[in-house]
Amino acid sequence: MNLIFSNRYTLFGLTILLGFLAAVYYGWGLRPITVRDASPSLLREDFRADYVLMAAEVYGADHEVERAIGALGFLSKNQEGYNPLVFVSGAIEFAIDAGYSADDIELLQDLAAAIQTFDPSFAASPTP
Amino acid sequence: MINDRQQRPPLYLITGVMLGLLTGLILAGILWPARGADVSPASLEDTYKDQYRLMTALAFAASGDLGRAQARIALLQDGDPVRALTTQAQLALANSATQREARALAALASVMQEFAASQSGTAEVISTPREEDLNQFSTPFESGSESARYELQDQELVCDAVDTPPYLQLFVFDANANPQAGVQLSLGSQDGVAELSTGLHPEMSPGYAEFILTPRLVYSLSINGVEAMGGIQAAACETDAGEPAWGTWLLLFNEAE
Repeated sequence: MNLIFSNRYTLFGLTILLGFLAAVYYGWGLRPITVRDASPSLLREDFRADYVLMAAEVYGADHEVERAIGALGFLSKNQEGYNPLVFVSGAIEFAIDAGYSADDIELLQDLAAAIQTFDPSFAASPTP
Repeated sequence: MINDRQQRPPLYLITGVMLGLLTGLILAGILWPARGADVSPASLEDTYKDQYRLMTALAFAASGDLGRAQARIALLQDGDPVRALTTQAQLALANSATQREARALAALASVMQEFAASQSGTAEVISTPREEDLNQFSTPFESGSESARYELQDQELVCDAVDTPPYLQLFVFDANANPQAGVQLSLGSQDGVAELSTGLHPEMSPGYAEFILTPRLVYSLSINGVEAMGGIQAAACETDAGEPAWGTWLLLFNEAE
């Protein structure tokens, strides 16, 4: 008798687990993701890296590091207190993995170097 | 009795599956949805799209890489990318603090528009006209009704540069003779209709627009949806040095008072 009840509880638990796994698979794997009005902080890694590359291209032409830092704030959930170097370092890593051209990687590295030597006592402008 | 119980459907199993599904859906759909992983620029909020578009234009101004700029703009999935750029350029143009941004946006819009025009209609344009094309063209004529909002103020065929395609250059002024940006122009021909807008070349004038005419096509021009001119053709002429060249039609319009 106890064995029957024990089997039932086990089966009940297994069916809950089965249902849970099916729902999670549907929700994360199968269901088409239609996100609207999203924040830039949710951009896919390659789009984020390309955005950083745009900032690096602009910086490569005007050498205005404050403006570049302001532009990179776009990728941050919180415009106050973000670290732009994190975005640039992430973009460099992605660029190397994804096989970006040497020129593009150099642009990103130049921007990273400029941010590292930038005097943080200057406030970054909030827009590019 | 025992047999009856054994033949009943195992409802607790269905209940278990339902409970699991419910919990999983709440977790994967509400508490911790799979966002982040696949968000593209097209899914951004409109203000962020504007910022992405602006950054694309600034990067284009810096690098001059049109292919890359077009690919980036395409990610936004704007219905009419050139119009989106133009509209944003005009808004930026209105603010004295964002003139650099306005120029970058307008320049990208202009180059994209020219690229699209060159892809669709001007493949056969040659930089030097053939001998038989010389002086074989009609002069544009006003075709608008009396209620037309814009009047032709002046027209001229300029023939001073060889190795350039046949341009149509338009200047539009408001009733106070100020250059007017954002005026919608359309050029219809047998090949279709090309849409233009003034304001894409602020370095020329806010009221300026240009278009490369395809030789042997006859165009009619509408301003803000009202027909204004007909018989516009690429005009082959001779420069002062006697060299054959494509002329540039200059058309100046004033808004009627």
